[in-house]
Amino acid sequence: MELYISANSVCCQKVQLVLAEKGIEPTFHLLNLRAGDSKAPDYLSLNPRGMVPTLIDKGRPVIESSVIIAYLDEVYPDPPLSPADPFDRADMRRWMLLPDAALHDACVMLTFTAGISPEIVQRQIEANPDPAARNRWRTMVAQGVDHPPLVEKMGVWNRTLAEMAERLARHDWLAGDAYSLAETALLPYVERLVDLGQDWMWLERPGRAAIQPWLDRCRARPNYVGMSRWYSHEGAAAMKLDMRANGLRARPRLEALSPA
Amino acid sequence: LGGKWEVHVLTLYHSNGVCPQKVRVCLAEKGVEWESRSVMGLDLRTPDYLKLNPGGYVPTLVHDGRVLTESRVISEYINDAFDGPALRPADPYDRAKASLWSKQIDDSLHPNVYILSCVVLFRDHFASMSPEMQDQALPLDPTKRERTMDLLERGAQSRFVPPALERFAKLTADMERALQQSRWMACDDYSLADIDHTPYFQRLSNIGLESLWTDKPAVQDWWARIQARPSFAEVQTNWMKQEELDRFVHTRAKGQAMFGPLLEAA
Repeated sequence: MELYISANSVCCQKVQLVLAEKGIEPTFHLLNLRAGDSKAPDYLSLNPRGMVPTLIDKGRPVIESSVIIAYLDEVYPDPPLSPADPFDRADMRRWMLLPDAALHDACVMLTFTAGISPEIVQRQIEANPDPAARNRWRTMVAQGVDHPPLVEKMGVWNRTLAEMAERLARHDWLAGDAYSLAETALLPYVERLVDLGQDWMWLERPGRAAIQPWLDRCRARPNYVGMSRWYSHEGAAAMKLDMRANGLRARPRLEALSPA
Repeated sequence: LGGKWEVHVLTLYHSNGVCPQKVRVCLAEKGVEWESRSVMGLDLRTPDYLKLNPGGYVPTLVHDGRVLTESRVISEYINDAFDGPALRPADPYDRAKASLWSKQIDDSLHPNVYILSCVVLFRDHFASMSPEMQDQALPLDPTKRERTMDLLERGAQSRFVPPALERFAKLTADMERALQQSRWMACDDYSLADIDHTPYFQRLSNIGLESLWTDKPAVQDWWARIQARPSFAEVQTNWMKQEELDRFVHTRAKGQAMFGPLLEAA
């Protein structure tokens, strides 16, 4: 089995958590997105949208992290990461949809307006062949946390955290009564807020007390190493330092965008 | 009727939007009985409905008192929870392919079919409303609201229209390739991937865009096989009045006139 990833990508982290849970050690291919690795013709033949991750299993590519993790749980069901009850399974799938529906876009915007320094992404933006996308990215990065669409994206973050907290106040896990694909789908996003220095979003907001104990439970499980083993990787470590320094400076603005 | 007996009540809150249409087809294919609650227009904003579906969307499924939202989640649940023909492929790799097809609907087909429907179906209706009604009818999300206003104002001249047409040209090209390899979209078996695309093709047909696949024999053949299935009546014929169905003759002609020049230019 092979897995194409980039260091510190939330979508890759989802897959890495599932593989660690299953005790599978794939051959990793670490792509450097800033150098355009994911837009190289060979990679595009596996993943036409030029995104990470891509899984190669039994010689065939599987793309899109939410599809990959569901696939892995079906082909390698031991230990299972889906509840047995059909309703709980539906609940799990609904949590898994949140990143696809809006949370991932909110994460990208927050990361690039509040976290990563503009000069680091400059080259990647200028290399984008689509002029409209290039302009959109230039504007977003130049405006930073004053980028108007960030208002709506912070709403997405806050609604997601509120919904998670409500569920976790009554249950240990998001779907059913065990750790499931719902956790692997959402944990990397919550960890991104930690990376950005924004854990006040649950620690200092009423009604969200259940999130930190859930995060601690997730971190205490052996499969957490699937994502944490990359934290010290050269590229990821530098990115984390940069995100945190900028994120802490952005906090007052982000608090203003998150009315209690 | 003394004693304890279980009543399995399955209720679908739905309308003639594409998302509830997917679920209706799924229920028919699975052969499951269900109770209908039609929810349209301002019904979607009543406190009782918002309790079931906080976003104010359709469909919502209630099964033995438990509530599910999101058409993709609902259809997979119906497939999981009831006996009847399997609607997900047997092989996990084919299942991943089916999921990928269905996922692209949420990612990009849905917003793009909205764009094209807006200019053909909603524009005249909107023009007939009072300013207060118009304000209520517009989406709440600021990005969607801005886009809808541009579409209602400029119609087919809106900058959002050409990329939407391009997206469906890509879809039919992708499907043509896939359907040359297998009988149905994900594999040789009919699956949720086919079900989920059915209402979108009906909608494209209603707005005069069948020309997107008349030059694609495998897609044409797929669409003919889809329409021949008994479940197809659940898309619209079972749930619309004759006069509503008749109106599509006009919307088809109107869409052809609007989009024809744009498709030729592309």
